Amino acid sequence: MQSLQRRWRILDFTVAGMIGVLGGIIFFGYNWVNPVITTPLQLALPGSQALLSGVWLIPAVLGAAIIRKPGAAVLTEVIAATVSALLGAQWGLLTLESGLVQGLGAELVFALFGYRVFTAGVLALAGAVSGLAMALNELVIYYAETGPWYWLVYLLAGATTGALIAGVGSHLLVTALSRAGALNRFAAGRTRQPRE
Amino acid sequence: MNIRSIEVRRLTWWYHNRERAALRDVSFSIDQGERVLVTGASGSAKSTLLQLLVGALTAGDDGELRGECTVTAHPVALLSQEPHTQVTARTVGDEVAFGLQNLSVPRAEILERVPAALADVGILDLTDLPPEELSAGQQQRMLTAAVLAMRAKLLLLDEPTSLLDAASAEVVRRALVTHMSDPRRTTLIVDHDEATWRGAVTRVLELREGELVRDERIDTHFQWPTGAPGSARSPKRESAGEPGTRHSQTALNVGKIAEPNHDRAVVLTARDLEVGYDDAAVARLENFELRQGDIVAFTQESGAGKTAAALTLSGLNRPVSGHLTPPVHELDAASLTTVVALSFQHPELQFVHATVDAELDHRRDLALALGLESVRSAHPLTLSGGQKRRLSIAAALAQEPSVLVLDEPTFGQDDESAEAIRVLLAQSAARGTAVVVFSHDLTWCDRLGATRLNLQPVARTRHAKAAARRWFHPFAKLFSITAVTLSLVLTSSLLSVGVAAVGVVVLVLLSPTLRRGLGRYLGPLAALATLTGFTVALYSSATDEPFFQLLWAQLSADSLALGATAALRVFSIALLSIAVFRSLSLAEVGVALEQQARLPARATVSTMATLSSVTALQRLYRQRQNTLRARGISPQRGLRHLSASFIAVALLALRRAELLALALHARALDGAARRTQLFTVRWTWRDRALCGVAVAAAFSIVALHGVAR
Repeated sequence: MQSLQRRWRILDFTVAGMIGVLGGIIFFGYNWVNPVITTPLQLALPGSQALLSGVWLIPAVLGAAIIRKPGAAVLTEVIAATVSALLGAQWGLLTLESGLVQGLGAELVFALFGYRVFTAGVLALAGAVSGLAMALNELVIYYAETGPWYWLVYLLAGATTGALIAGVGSHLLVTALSRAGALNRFAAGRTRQPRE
Repeated sequence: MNIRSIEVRRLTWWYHNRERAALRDVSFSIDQGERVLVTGASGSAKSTLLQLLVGALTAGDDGELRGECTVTAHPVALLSQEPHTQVTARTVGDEVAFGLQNLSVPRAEILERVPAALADVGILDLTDLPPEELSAGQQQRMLTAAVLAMRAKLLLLDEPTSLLDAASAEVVRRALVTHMSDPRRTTLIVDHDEATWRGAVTRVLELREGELVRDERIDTHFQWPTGAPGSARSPKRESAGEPGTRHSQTALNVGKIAEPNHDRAVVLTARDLEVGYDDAAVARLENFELRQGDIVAFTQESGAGKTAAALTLSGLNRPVSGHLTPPVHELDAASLTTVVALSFQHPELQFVHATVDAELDHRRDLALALGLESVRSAHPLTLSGGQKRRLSIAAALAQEPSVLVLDEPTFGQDDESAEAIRVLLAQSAARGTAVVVFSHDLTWCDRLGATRLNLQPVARTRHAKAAARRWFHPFAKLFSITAVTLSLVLTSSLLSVGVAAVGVVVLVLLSPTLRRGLGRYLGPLAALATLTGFTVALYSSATDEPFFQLLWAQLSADSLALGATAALRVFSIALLSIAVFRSLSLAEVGVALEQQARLPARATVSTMATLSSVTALQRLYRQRQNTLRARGISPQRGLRHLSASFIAVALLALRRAELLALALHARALDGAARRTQLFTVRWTWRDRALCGVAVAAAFSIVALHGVAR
């Protein structure tokens, strides 16, 4: 039995940073695309526009799924948010706050499983909780004046998108990356059992 | 009694996911003052050994270790291969200072050691340039300066002169000699060419497929052999053009191909061509004509613009000026590949498929000729450095273009592989392919029978050192926007939010720093604010009489007011934050996190080092576009294409993270306690004043809200 290594390697920091930076750059583009493509959803069912917000949660789940150490979800998501804010995200400082809240949501689930279980199901759950945290945060800050139905739809949409886009999406990404041998230095990319 | 530097006993190392051990039952010990050459063919785990010694590989996380591997010398510094992956800083000077900061060398001493080390390797004039603008050879010299300046007790050098032309190699060698001759220092040089280093080292270790097969002490007084080392493979006997820096105006003759054979068709011509990146020319090629079956080689010193020329002739970089016929840069991807194929300077940029076999277009003959037969089903990125380069050459050959361009084809190859490459290229030329080689390996080019040509240098202007004046501490800026944002989130009256919005706009208009470059955000911001406002107005919880109703949506006087409030709130928060964030510098925030927030250096520095790769990632994306174009894949849209290119960029990014981690280990970040800071970020009265003003503004907004109620 291999002992769990909780101490972060320098490699863990640089990989968290790199996923964050990559995420931040994608956020920066998606930040401006999202309001446009979600308008039809919003008209069909108010609150359901959150169904496409899962993209913003991918770094948290992906970072934790690769690094598998305490704090990975929060660090990766906060870096992604910071990068997109530095590039010029329309929510400015609130981008950082959202990043922190979303990262904490995912982190909570991984912590509950003791940073030992990283199956597709756990990733989906982490995505869902992260999505709930995101939805709650946005309702308070941007949509405080709306009514209870709006809140309910928004929360459900947040959890769904988190589970599907961030959770299942990250699982697929980890699989693709490890197939290319890019995760050989991470437990996530380990296909062979350790010797004895 | 000698002092031990390295103790390795019965060391076996497995990488995860690999059946075979990389190092097997290796035992040796090295004492202080020894100068050891580690040699062995490519794939013999020399680099793995260095990574273990520098602490970049840890048992458990990275692989499994049996036996003992103890390094008692401290500090340890490593010069690794592929210098472009080892850049951590924004200027050449900062790059050299980085290791010294980690070793807590006092600031005054750093300021003396940095220029001294750069002068030792002959690139003092490049101090203020960004490292990514240097050629591969100049980067290798910069990193040599970086490890020499650290005055490490144990210095690990992985092929230290592999990318250098003869003249620069001589300069670097002299600097290394001085360093190694100090009896308190231990040096380990990895190179697969033993003859090059005989006379300079006291001992030779030879690895073969992970096993130590030789441990021989050499009795010698410290002296460099005549016919001194120049390249990684073979001693260099000739100088590549005029030695000198890139700023020299030495005009080198632009040759025409000797004795042109007019029977063969012309496949590529260049007239008054200037090559470079974006709009900055780095070299000129005035009159160049390439016919079927020609073999030409550009063999200048590093920094002459060889890579820019290779990218331009391959139709990937646009010419800065001048003409190319056919106009390769204007061809679509599919037709480009039949005209010209490039073997990239960095072979990883070549690959678009998941297996070696697919990269080779299933050409078994190429795999056999270049020793890739055994790895045909492997993923290209998992190959060794030497194998990757051979695959990159084979992939370009497999495209069967009329012009084949190769950027440093022999780098990292042992004699046998270099010969195999030479034979393949000669055969290809005999069949009518025109071969253009960019290389500093003169002997190999001569054996290939290449006509030597030169690029003409273009003088470049030096970057002015960016000395931005800083008015406020980054934390003061962050605190201020936090206070104002919080007050806006807490208030909901049209009056308070409206006044705040006017205040923010006035502030931004008054400050030139905040105003700069903000224009392009205004349109999208206004649209976003309006959208949010409408959403809130339609679905608000207002209870007065609606004048419009449709399903869930309703509009009333109150709901319109709520919508307007929400829109103004979003607009002011966003405008203020974007403006302030754009005025922050990453370097400043990093220093502030380390100095004031007292976050551990290891975490802060390694994370911040990746943050500065935002531009590097943009470059990776551009390179990826180049790769696709060079391999004949036209740009496509759609989700599948998008996710494929995302994964391709993510792969390169992860690889970059891995190499960056190695760079940080190589410069002793892991043990860094209290790093020396080159500049300090101080909290002054101005910062206190800014915070005070922001708090006052926040309170006024809340007070206005109370009045409006």
